[in-house]
Amino acid sequence: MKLLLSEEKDRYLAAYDARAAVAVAEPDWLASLRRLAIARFDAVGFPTTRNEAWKYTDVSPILKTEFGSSTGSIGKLSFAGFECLRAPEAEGACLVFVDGVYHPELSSMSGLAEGVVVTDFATAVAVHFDALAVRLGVLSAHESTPFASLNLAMATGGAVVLVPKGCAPASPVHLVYLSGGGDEPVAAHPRTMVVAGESSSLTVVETFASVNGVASLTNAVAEFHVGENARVDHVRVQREGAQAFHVGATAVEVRRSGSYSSIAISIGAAISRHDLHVRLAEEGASCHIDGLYVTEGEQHADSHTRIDHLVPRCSSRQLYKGVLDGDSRAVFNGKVYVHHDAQKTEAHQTNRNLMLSPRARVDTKPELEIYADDVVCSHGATVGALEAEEQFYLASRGLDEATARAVLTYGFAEEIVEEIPVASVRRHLDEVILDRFQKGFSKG
Amino acid sequence: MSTIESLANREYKYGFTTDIESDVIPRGLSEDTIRLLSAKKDEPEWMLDWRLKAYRRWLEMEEPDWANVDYPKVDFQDIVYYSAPKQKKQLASIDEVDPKLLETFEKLGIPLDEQKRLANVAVDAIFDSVSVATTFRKKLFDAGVIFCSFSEAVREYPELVKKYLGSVVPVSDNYYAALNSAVFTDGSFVYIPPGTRCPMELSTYFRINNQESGQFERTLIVCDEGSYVSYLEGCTAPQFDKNQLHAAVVELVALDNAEIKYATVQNWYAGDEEGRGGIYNFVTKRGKCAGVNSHISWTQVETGSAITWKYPSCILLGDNSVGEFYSVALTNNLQQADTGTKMIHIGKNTKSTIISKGISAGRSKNSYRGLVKMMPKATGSRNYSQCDSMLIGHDCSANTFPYIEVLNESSRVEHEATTSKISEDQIFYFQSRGIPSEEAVSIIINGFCKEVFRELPMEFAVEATRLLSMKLEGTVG
Repeated sequence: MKLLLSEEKDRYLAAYDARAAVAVAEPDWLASLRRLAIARFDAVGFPTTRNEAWKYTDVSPILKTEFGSSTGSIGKLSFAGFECLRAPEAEGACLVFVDGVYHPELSSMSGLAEGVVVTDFATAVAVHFDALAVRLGVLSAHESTPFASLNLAMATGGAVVLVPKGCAPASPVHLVYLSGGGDEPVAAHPRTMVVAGESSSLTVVETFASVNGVASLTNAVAEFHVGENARVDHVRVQREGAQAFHVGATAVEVRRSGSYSSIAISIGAAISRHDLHVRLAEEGASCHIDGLYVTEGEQHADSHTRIDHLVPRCSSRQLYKGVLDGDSRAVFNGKVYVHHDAQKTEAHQTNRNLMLSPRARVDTKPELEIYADDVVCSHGATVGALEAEEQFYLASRGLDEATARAVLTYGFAEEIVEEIPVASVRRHLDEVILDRFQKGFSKG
Repeated sequence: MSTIESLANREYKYGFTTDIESDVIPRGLSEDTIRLLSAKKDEPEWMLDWRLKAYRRWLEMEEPDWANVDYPKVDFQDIVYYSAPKQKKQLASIDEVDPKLLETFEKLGIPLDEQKRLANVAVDAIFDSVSVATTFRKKLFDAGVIFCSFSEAVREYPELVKKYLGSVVPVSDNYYAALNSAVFTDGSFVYIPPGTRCPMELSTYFRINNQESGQFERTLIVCDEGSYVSYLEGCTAPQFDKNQLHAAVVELVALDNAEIKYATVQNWYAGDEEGRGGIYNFVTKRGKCAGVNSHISWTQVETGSAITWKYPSCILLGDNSVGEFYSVALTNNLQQADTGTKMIHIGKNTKSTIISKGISAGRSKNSYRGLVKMMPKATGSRNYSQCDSMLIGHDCSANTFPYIEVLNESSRVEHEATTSKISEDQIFYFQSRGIPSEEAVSIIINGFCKEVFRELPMEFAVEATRLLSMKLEGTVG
């Protein structure tokens, strides 16, 4: 990896030192993990566009902004805006963080099923260290991105969800990460850890949103351990403000016959990047990952996915869709890697992009790397505009042009949104995107 | 696949060497080598300057390492940059060519002899560093078509060469193209005048004979307004344990309403089962659809070479121009191929089609790497890509790395890829109809590659089909 922007790197290294100097004493296992992580970050540095994984995403605007360290201030928090983010289904299992700092007074915690743990990172380090110590950073270490290393070095806030064997909580767990609580730009490094025990089942919603228009950096990492025969549904909604920068990584490992489903929605932030890495580690494991990115103005959204088929008889399905307007840019890179001996693999991947503006740009790169012969793999990618025939059909039914285009665009995006298993989150997103398309077309 | 892997691989049929006295310069590369090489070819001053400029640029460049291939570093000082069979100067006719050379090409299935040669295909035969013969010169000359060796073109048609050489692949385009620009020895030159349909297929046959030499040929094809040409390229090399470098550059220029069809059947020596020897095939091929409604089509059947690094590309500059890429890449044993295409859409309503079929067997690595780029002004443009891979055996790999960059709204790009294997059910079906499994595999493979083979001229399609089944013998059954 090319090393550049050493000045910016030094700033982050200094922030690490500053944090280490004032932080409460941490157990040895965590302190040594952090030292390793910061050393790895120091060695690698921030990526440039010369780095293949960052070819289409230039992080220098993020690095140019000077971010202070987070205080967790909520001076700017508007409760009306915040309330609409809450999912009533997750009442009693909702954790709220502002700039990476846990706010118990905003969270609601009650009536959890026996043995289920939903807690903040600091409490987990103190109380549930046996579950945490063996797992923290294990999956995200596979992510070679320096941002993930930085997160491990810096993360103080975050959520830990532990579901014991055979347990199936009826209601979802909602983790709300808010950014920009104060007046100054701050950087937050929230961390999520989810451990679903054998034959358990769980729904997790992660929401990333901005409190106000202040620039912020959210550098989030989540690790999902899906146990034998367990099932995890993961909804990740990124709708940060127009000034926000968002870098996220989700690392998942699925054990024998377990299944992981995710829907990653990215509609906010000036520059956003999400890396989703799923390891199908034991036979019979499967994943189904869907995504939607909607960009306008000068937004830049980058979705990277990688699925490792490590053993025989696993399956993966993937559908990522994008809607691009204005001068925005979107990047999709999906890699399916079928390891040697991972016979009987079935892997399908699709990426579809809808261009609404002549100035938008999309760079897509679906990749297959296959080292086993008895497999069925496919991928497809398309880029195009709305069909003239379809618009004509709606016009013939009396719809004006703006409405017709909004309806068709909504229909395109809806295929992903309608799969969201939590009704309130689904309804809210539906409104947000429909509103956005209507506005976009009536003005253009 | 229980019945598989029992048959022996057939030997590489073209692995013989011709014992012929050669004019060889000492190995190694420096400005002096280039001056010597240029002097040997009696080149004008401008050509030497061009080479030296390329050499100086090459010295500053780094060897690319992004391709999905592994090999020990090439020692550029350990290569002989010029090797030519000694023969009488100034050949008046084909009869004066050394009979040993004629015999060599005959053995390769390329008779140069006036009586025996292929009907309606004009051949330029290149042996190590030089062109030894070009057939049907008279007939082509009468039609106004220029088809000659590159050295001859530099002497006879300097204005055309100056105008187009490096116009598609600039000197500093990439590492191997820069090296080629500095040391290229010979190749073919084709110019089709306006409004002319070339009366016959043109063909170049490349043969490496010398164990120490690399082959650096340069092909330049210019199709003037409203003209058409179909061009074929074939290549073989003897069996040596040492790896040899082949770094060629091919440039195509199609002006308004012109069409160029370029087909390659690449069968360089691929090394033995343990991966010893074989050709490093690092080639830059690019066509420029410079004029409106121009059309360039690449068809390749890649079966040879230890390592293939090759991306025949189209720059679609003229409005309504069309680029096509049809490829079959087969790798066996320890072969590695990283091949594909680039389609750069610049003009309005430009269209491109990519059909790539990769077959990997043995312990080989086969990657498709491609780029489709729609520039902001390429409105109404269209691309369709299909990249299918087939795996035979569990120690090989098949990879797909397509890059799609779209910078405008009205273009449409579609990419599809699949990976699969020949299923036992398919083979069983054939067997139940009385067709032996080996033949069944051959039929299935040919069906898999059908879309590409039908783009080849007939003789080549037959040859390619045969080549494929021969290469795969013993891998499946």
